Amino acid sequence: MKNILITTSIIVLTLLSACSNNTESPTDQNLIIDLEIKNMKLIPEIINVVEKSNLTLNIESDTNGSLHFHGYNIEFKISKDIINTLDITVNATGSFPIALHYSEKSDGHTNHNHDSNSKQAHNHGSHDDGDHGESVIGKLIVNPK
Amino acid sequence: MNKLILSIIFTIFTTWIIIPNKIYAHGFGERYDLPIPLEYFLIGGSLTIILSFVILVLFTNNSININHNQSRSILYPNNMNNIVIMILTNILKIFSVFLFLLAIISGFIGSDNPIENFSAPFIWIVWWVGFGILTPIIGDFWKALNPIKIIYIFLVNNVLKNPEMINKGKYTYPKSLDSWPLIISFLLFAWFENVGNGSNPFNLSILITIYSSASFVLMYLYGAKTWLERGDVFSVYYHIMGSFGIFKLTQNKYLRTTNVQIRFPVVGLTELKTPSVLFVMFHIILLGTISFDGLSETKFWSDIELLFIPVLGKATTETIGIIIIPAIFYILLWLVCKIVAMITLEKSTEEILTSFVFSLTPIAIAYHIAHYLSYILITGQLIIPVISDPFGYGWDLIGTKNYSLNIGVINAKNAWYSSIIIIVLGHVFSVIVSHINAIKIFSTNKLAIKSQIPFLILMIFYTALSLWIIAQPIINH
Repeated sequence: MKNILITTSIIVLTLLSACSNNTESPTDQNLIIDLEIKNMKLIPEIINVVEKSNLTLNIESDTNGSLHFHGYNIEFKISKDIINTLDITVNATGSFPIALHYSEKSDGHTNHNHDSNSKQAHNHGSHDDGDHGESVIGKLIVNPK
Repeated sequence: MNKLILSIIFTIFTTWIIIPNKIYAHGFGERYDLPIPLEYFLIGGSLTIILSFVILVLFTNNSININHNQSRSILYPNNMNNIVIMILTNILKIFSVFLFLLAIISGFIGSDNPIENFSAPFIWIVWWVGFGILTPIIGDFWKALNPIKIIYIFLVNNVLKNPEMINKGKYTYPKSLDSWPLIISFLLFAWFENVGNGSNPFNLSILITIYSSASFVLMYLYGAKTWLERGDVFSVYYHIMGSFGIFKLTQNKYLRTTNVQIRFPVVGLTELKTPSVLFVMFHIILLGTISFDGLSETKFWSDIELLFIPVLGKATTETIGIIIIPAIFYILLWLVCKIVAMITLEKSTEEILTSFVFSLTPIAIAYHIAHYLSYILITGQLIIPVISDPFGYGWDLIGTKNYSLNIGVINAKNAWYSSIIIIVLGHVFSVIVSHINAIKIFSTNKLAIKSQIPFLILMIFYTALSLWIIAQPIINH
């Protein structure tokens, strides 16, 4: 039993030290990412970045509407057939749905200032609240350093 | 008479739930957790296995004796009559009743948007998740703060002026009822949370009103003390969870707190007893639904839904999930107890079932805390704006209406470390509680150790399941 314990402890210590060699964090904190919205799909679907990155998102869309970054509570109006540019600093880690609001209404949804935490509480929560159509088309994944 | 009353209550619940409604899954609120990476999962799993064997080896040579006299009183009966303590206690009780009534009223007259209404964040996040996390740490303080109980006792003492109604009901609690009220109530509640329209404030208020009314009637029929100890699902739930906590509240037959003791976390769980296999089933339903809560947010469950929803519909599929997961848990536990009965030849399967059921509780508690830690810290902040505007009318009573959530309050890495440590600790406590229970019921240390091998395998499986669930990406429904 003693031998089993010693052997197992060596294995675990090896595991622990292997895991402590983190995968390299990207050194580039400023990222430019090109996105396309086509047929209600985001290409690429997942944006995978590291916290404290400054993102410049160049978004081309085949539809008018607005992109809503859940969690960060950023709503960004997009126009079709032009390059829409959004700057975000991602300070909080997590997996944040990106939704497309495809209402054609011209009210209410203006470009917010590009802060990572919007000042305005947003009404959507986790459900379609019936005020406008929302379809989750992608994810912003912000990993810890 | 008793069966008629229960049948009526059950029918009201099920009829209302079966009426087609827009289905909202899973309580309330969006989640942004990142799944734990593979290396953390492996470390957690490895530690679970290693520590299990280490503890088993230690127990082989030395058994643990829990001395229940090691609990120490911090508030004695005399202290409870102290004017300052009485004032503080009454302030807390009044506050509890105020929040309870506010939750009901806001559901009835406030906005039907759950984020703009006090009711949904308070019930689902502060009470169900928040209390669920605090109770295993602190102890069963729901005993002192239960607003339905507070209102009933107030009415009995001050309006009806008959305090004996607290201790004695119109009828004796029938043996045949056993733990059926707990099982039925909890399944219905779990359904409402996971499948039904749980986040809609109006529906929530209706449910609370029905539940409260039924509680008053049943406390009158069987005596408040008896009903709360044997039939009221939330009192029993928080009592089990609170048994892990460091404070123990003792109440007299008039449900007045007479003593507050401080103790080592494991002690309370080892004091829990049940002679009833039905209670074991209730407890396993509780543990199973805690796991289903997390499982239902994984891709694994999403894939199952894709298979069955076209045939059975979403509500039926999820309802089956709520029943089938606890059923699997129960079958596994029963099999393990059967094996233990066969290898020890000293106790029956039922005796082992009723003696060991609480051994799994620390794993469930640990998983619950790990699973909801980020949720309570991030989505829990939703309570801040609604305090200023409980009905969603555009008020700003204390200046917090425009508060926006700080989603960076907990970093993913800290959440991962915390989750692994909490789940592994939960496993360690489970192994300890199981060993203590074994020492109590088996005649020799050798038999007790022998009985632990099958339980250890079960506990490793349960812990591994908990780790696996938090390693899965969350699918927000």
